[in-house]
Amino acid sequence: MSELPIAEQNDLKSDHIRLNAERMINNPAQMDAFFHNAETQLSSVEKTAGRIDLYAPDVPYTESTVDTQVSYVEAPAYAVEPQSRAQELEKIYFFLDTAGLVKEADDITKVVNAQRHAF
Amino acid sequence: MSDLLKKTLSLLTGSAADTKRPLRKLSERELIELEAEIGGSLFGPIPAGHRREFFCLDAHTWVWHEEWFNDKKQRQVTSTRYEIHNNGILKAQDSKVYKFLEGEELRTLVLAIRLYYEAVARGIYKRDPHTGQPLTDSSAVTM
Repeated sequence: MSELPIAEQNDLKSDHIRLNAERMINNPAQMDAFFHNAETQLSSVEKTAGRIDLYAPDVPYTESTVDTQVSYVEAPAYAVEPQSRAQELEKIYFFLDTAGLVKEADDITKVVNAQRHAF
Repeated sequence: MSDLLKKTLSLLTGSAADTKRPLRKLSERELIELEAEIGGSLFGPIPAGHRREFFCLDAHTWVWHEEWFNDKKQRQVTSTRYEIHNNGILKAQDSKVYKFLEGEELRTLVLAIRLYYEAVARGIYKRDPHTGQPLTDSSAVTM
């Protein structure tokens, strides 16, 4: 994947996100794995009856348009149309994806810097 | 291995230290310059007359620097800093505009960081980016 041009990699990633959001609907096992993954990436994941709130760390710069919290209402409490549900999942997936990307960038940057200092 | 054999081998191949750490005489600044050259090439062909650098400045900061001459032969410079915070990556262009990256721009930067690491690990430090181990002759040509 790393050998593809960046634009093509982005297209693949977007397709991947959409596909995963669609697959997760009506698949409890994948949904569990999804939220388990969320717990490792976000500052807080709160579960109450029928509802899950995901929190990213506070963003001090108000210019940012990135939401710091999204919610997902679990089935069967989720009473909206499947299409809306899919859109909601895409939003959550995007949210988690952003947190994951920032963490990956942070990890790699530390490694690059350490590698240089090791020489 | 006997001392004589070690000395002979050293004469033929260079000292063991030279073989393992061929860049040890370079300063951090010189290493950054080498990395910046590789980093600048990650985004496709560089237009004629442009100078582009992309590099990791320290454990929290990346820099994109580009210079060129416009139609009136005036020198143009754009410098962008990307600061990595726990809650996002902050972009500052020409020390003025601050915003957190999101969406495609964030995705593109992280891909560039990933490619940068793989390229400099193999191209400069002769390390496997996945294991951190020194490259063997066979793995070095797979870049």
